[in-house]
Amino acid sequence: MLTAALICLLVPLAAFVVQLFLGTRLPRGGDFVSVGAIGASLLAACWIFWQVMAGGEPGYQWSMVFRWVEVEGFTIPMGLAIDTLTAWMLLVVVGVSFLVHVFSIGYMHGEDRYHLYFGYLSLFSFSMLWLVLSDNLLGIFVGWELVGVSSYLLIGFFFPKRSAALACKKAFLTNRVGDLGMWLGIMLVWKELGVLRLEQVYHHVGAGAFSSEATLTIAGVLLFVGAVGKSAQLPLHVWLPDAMEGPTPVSALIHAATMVAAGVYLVGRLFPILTPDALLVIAYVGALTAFFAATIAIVQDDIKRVLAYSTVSQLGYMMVGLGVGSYFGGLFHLTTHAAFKACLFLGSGSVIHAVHTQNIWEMGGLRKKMPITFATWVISTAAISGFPVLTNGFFSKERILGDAMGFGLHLPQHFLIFALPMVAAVITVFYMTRVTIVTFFGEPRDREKYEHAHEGGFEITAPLMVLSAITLLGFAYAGPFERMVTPPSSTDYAAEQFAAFHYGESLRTGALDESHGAHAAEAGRGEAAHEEPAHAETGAEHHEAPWGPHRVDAHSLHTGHRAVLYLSLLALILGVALATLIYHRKRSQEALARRFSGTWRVLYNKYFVDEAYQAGVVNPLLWLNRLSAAFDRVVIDGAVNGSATLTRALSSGSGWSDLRIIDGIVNGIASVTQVFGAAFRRVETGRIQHYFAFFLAGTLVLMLIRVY
Amino acid sequence: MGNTLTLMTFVPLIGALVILLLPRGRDELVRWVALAVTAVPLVLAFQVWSGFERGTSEIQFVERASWISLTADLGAQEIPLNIEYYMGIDGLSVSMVLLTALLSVLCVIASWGITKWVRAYFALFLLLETGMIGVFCALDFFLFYVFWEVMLLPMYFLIGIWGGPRKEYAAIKFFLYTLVGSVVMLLAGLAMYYLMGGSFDIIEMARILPNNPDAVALGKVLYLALFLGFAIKIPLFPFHTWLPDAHVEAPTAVSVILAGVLLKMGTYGILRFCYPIFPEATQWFAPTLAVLGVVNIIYGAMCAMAQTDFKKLVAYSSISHMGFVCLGMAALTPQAVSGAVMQMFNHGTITAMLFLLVGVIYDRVHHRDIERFGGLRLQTPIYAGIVMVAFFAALGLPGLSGFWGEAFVFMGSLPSFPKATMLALLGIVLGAGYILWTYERVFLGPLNEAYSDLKDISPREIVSLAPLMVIVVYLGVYPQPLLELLDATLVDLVRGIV
Amino acid sequence: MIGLVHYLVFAGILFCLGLFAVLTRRNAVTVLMGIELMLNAGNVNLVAFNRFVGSGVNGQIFALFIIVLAAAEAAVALAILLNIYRTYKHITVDEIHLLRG
Repeated sequence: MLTAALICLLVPLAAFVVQLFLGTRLPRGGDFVSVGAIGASLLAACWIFWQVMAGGEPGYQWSMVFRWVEVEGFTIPMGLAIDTLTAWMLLVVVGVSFLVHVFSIGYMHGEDRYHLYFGYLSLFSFSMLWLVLSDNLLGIFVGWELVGVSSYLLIGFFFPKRSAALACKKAFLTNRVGDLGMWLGIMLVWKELGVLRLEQVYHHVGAGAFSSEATLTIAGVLLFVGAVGKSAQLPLHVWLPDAMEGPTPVSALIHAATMVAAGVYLVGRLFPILTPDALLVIAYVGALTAFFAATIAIVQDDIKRVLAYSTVSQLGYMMVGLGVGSYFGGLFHLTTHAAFKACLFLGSGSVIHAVHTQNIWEMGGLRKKMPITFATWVISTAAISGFPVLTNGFFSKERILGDAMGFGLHLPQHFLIFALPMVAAVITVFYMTRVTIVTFFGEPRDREKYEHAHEGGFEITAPLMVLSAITLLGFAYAGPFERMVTPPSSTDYAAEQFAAFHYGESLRTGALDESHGAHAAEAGRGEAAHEEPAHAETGAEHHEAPWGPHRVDAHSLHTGHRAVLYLSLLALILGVALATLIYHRKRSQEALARRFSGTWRVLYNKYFVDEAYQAGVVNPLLWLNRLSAAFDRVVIDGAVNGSATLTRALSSGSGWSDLRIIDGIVNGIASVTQVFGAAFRRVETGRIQHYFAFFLAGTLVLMLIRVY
Repeated sequence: MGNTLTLMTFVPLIGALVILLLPRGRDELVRWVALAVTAVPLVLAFQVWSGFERGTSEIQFVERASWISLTADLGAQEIPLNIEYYMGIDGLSVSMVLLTALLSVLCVIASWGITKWVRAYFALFLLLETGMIGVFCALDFFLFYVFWEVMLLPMYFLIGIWGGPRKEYAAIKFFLYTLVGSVVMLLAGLAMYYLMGGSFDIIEMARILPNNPDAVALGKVLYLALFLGFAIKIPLFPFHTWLPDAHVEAPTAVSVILAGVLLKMGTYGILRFCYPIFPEATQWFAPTLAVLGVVNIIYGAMCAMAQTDFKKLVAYSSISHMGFVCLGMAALTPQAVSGAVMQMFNHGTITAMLFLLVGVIYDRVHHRDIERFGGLRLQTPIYAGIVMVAFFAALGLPGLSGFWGEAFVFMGSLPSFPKATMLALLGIVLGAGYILWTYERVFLGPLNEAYSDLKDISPREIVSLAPLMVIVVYLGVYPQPLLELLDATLVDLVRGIV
Repeated sequence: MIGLVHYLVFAGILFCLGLFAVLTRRNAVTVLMGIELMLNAGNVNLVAFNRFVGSGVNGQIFALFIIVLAAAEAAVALAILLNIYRTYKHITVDEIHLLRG
């Protein structure tokens, strides 16, 4: 296991180093090094996955701790840990990464710094794997920052473009703000518990080592702030749409499938220590994000921006899922979203590659020119819309909405947590249909571009097909996923905190059997269904969650889930119908925009959030910077120079007194001496005989004195 | 083995004399001799590093001899004047000595382009190295003071002669500031000497003075006097304005030494003198020190963001980074203090890289105005890559050494000063802000046509940067080698105070 | 019988003659000769006192020292004079008054 994990982790790092130093000298820019490395990682990941699945127990855990910092003052070990969630994440990350690598060979062909592009991809893969495999919060933070850097490098890959240069800076800084919260959360955990290994953290929290539940809530919310940054949740979502300046495969890998999902992964990892209050915050943030991002996506003209806002919105769904305690729903949506959103992004990449524009109004009718892209696009659009049974999106999205509805019905004061995502579901279908119609149907709007369009090579279409196949195979892996990936509620205290989760669990087990006869998923879920009601009941009976007893009301539950199913179907039909009505009948966007000009402008400008940040944060900060620099120059340096001037004034004063008074005395003495000297100099004739005579006279005088 | 420290300290001095005796006009020879001479302390420093026994706070590599010994008749009592030549290192100083020796070699390499009065330049530089290593090795206050002042004079001339347009102003400002500090420090030293009944032995002071009622009574005053001397060197707000001027005007290598080594002497001095000798005053002053540290972090970062001069920006970033050291020292937990000393070392390497890199671009285009660059990464990809490593290290990216110092400082100081720590955390966002903004303005975007024939970094310059890069990456991945050097000493130090 | 007084008177006369020469002559060589006379007057005194008042040979030894010293002094003085002559082309002491204040 260790060998496999290390191969999985370190081979991409080695590829990065090779690309960095030798990339230019290798044939083909060394793309085979990176692709080969990620291929090796994929094999290792598959092996790990197989081992974990073959083990068959839900709570499977393997870990390896290295001595890292070990001194008298404190000890921090680093280590790798693999459990079922990790195994799934590994497969998702490495799988999508591999396909994106392959896709990039075709997409990035002939670009400048081709070798560096693959080097950066390898670096990203390494960082993401480190994030996933790390067994402690500090390690996760390290990976967290490193994926941020890889993202910075890749967004800024086309750095000669001013917009790309600005976008990568914005992405990193926005993430830094989130990281601030996460870092504070980690430190709070360290302060309270003195350990950072997740396993120990669960254990200590379970044993009630936190000083108060409020502190635990604060820690949880702070850690979630990191996820807000990385997963582009409100209000730190602004970087993700701009991040579309990066190459499209990168958007697929980093800004749709894996890195932005890291926030969700983190929340999943921290699930056992999140208090109900913290989960409520998460759910609200997720719900608001899901709704607002979806509304913005309606009016965007850039195909990648639509997908970007769609990603933000879907990440909001995941947060809602985890927030209402639907551990499975949130994390499974991460997995399914990775597949269909990567497929959508790569599909958009294929389109952009063909027509060399990102504006959907310059496309149109492309389904005839690019049948494979079109087919895969439609499949993944169906998945994101939650098309029943056939697509993987159905299993995850319906679960989240169902659990949210249960939550909302049970706690009507928080009904918004269900209502917003539900409305967003309609909007999602609407904007996806809109993009599909405008891009692939109708008459070509730009003839010239249309004529040049063609399907890409095998390295471009193959990943699309693989991803859409995975999208369609959702029923096959929803069951195993659910059976294997269980929340690590190993401790009593954690279980107590999980009333919310248990609530969701019981909802599900009650609901799915009846509501939609998801036969395929049924088989896999069988075993789990036996255990979990019991588990859920203990949770419901023994533990009083803060918002009241969690006895499952079977009736409201059934109606709830059935209602969700109907509502979703309604949403699907409504969304498709509306979009078809508006966009297929050649009603131009301008007409619509005129009709709702106010709303349209607000949406088109993304609720003016960027402008608000510019005016409310950036400009005051710059102003403050200039102020402090001026303060430094004028006041502090002024004081320093002033004291120097003062000293000089004082010294010139003392110089004057020196000259006139002290020197006056000295000179006075000197002049007196001079007068005497002038008198006496006459004696000094310079004639030796005179001296001799004086000498004689003196001797005589002395003799006379002696005698008398 | 017995006289490693002495050799390390005085070989550069001998080298300086040798260089002065070399014939005029043999500049190339002078450079090579200087390089060879600075290599000697580096080799010895490695020897010390490998021979240094980890996990103990004992003073090692001790050398002791009586230097000036008299009996002074001072009226009522007779006080023996006993100044020793007392050298030794412990966990606190060993990393600093290593840093000094390493940076000196790199600075000589970076000074290859100096053409004005080459012999004098290198002779002064070597004299400076003697002073620096001596400061970190001396364990007798008087000896320490002598080295402290020995360092000052070459620095003055190096800035004042080889500096930029406002060199005289900068040099005299630096000189006066530091001199004010050292005078006050000397007074405090003399007071400690009388309290000790006639000894300058620092280690004995730390053993005896905390239990001496007179010393405890005077503790705060003496602490503040020493602190002022060191705070100017760090430099702490509001004594920091000499630093941007000195850095901007000084030639590259001197900036490197200034930021890399001289600033560390301030914090080193506080940890060496103030902390062990006046534990009560230390506790009393810790909250103020934390606040000053946070002010340094935030204020330095904000001033940095407002600069358009590349070098001035780096200078202000030093102020900001030294704030982390102060915060960590103030927290008085083993982790935070270890983090602070790590940060001292790491800042030494990182900021040295930054100044060397600024020097590289300045040598080519003869200005440092950030606004006038743009898109340089297209023209100079290797240079841009190295700058990126240094920048990311400076903004505290995990995986590069800058992170761990800050991380341990934060982790250790949160329990002591939660509010200050949270404010200080803002510093890392601001830090990322000015660093990435600068990178964008200089390297990204379309290429400014004025620089379309700019040459990429030369092998000599890479040689001067490579060792630092290796250290930055290595300690970023695995900080244990540095931590284990200093931890035991600092744990004992903190234990003695709390 | 010639006694001590005779010697002293003789020495006194000799000394005065020397002194007279030193004070009045312009020529430096003559001045030097005067100095020699004065020194020898002293010698006569020393020897005379030793013969009539003291015992042993102390006086004679002092006299011998003085003779040797006088010779050396004369040599040095003549060398100086020679140099003065080279510079001024004369040795008139009146004209040599560089030390005048």
